[in-house]
Amino acid sequence: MRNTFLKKLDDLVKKVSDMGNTVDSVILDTINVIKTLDSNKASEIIESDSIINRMEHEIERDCLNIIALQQPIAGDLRNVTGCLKIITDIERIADHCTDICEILLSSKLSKESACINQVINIMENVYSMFKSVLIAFISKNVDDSVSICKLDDKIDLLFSDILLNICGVISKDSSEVMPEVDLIFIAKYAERIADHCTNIAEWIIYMETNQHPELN
Amino acid sequence: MSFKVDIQNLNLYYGDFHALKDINIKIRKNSVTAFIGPSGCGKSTCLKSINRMNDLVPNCKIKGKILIDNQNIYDSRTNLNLLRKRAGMVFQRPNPFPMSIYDNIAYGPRIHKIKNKKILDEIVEKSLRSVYLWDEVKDRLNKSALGISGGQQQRLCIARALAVEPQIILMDEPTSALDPLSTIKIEDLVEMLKVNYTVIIVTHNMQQAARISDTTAFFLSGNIVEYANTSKIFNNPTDKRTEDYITGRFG
Repeated sequence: MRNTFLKKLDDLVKKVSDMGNTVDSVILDTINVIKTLDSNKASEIIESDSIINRMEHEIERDCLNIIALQQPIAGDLRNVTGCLKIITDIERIADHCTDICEILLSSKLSKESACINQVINIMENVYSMFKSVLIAFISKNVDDSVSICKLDDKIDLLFSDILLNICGVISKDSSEVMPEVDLIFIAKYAERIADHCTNIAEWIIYMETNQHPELN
Repeated sequence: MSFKVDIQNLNLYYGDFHALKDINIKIRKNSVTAFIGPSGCGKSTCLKSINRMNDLVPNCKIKGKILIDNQNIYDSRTNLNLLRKRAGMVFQRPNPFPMSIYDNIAYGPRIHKIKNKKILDEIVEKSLRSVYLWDEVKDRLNKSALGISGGQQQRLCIARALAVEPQIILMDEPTSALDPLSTIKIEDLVEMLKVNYTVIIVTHNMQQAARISDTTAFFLSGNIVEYANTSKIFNNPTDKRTEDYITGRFG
């Protein structure tokens, strides 16, 4: 039994899960910033991105060490490869939260801006998707991963609705165009986060089945 | 598809011990097949059955068939010398004969009645070139084979097997006693050999099986648990026991 190796694999999954939990908080905080327009909190989220980057680099190094020193094969190799790919998606999700906060810092959005509730709604849907994919990763659940991929269609529809509504608002009143454009960008980042969640779900399926379906 | 070796319902007993149980396996011509599995699983026994080396073991009883080119080698009319000429064997430890490098290679052909010096010279050179040893030993062909390095001795043993123009090369852990560089040379050689020969190799080195073989058979307690393309075995084996073994979760 390769106990040391198995412990390294367990540690790897735990680190990815810890990184996921950290980003989970970042998404939740970002949603709160959209709701409260709290610029201090937005700055904190931007600053915390370096922590996520460090976590990603540490896990990357662990993966490469396991590959170089332990030569994993079969399911073990898929697990290490999957973790290596998943952390890239998790890190990008944190980047998008930072992007959203940067927009909020310079934006003239107000709590009364048209469609802001729709944007909060898409973010909350995306947050729920991320939470589910994190649980699917920990529980190695293929069925849940397939279901999560299907949620991406709903997010795409929500984004289309937001786009349509904001275009309507702008066409009626062109005096406050920029805040509405900012909302389009935020909604687009939310839609991209959902794409990354789908990618993670696809990697979970690969890790468990050796199949890498295109479900997005 | 052309099968060189076809093992059918092979059961082998050492006295009361049932060492191979209903082995069925078809091995493609010009391919490298790896037999893997824990110690005592039957992989070497199966390998040795292919040129009837087990006949030499007291109380060994064999049932079933092994077809080479559709002929059952366990047929009573089989000429064992010719069989072992067709299916040459390389062992775990290099075992050159205590004679010159030249005589080691010429030994087999001489047994098969080749006496002409010019023909023997050609066979020796061709065989040594086949294992990339010619340039290293051509100036000391008449020196003792025991004086060259372990890696060179193992390549010499392969050359000795090739000298009688076999069709199948059976290798029983051929690199387990060699250093990494000599191991790489043997592995490269195996890749080249399959162009002209059918190679079956027993190895404890999983990475080696993954690197050099086309198909892999996983043996456990005298059974073949799984036999498939090496890529399949090492990426996504069907049987959990195979995955447990290759990933080190066994035992």
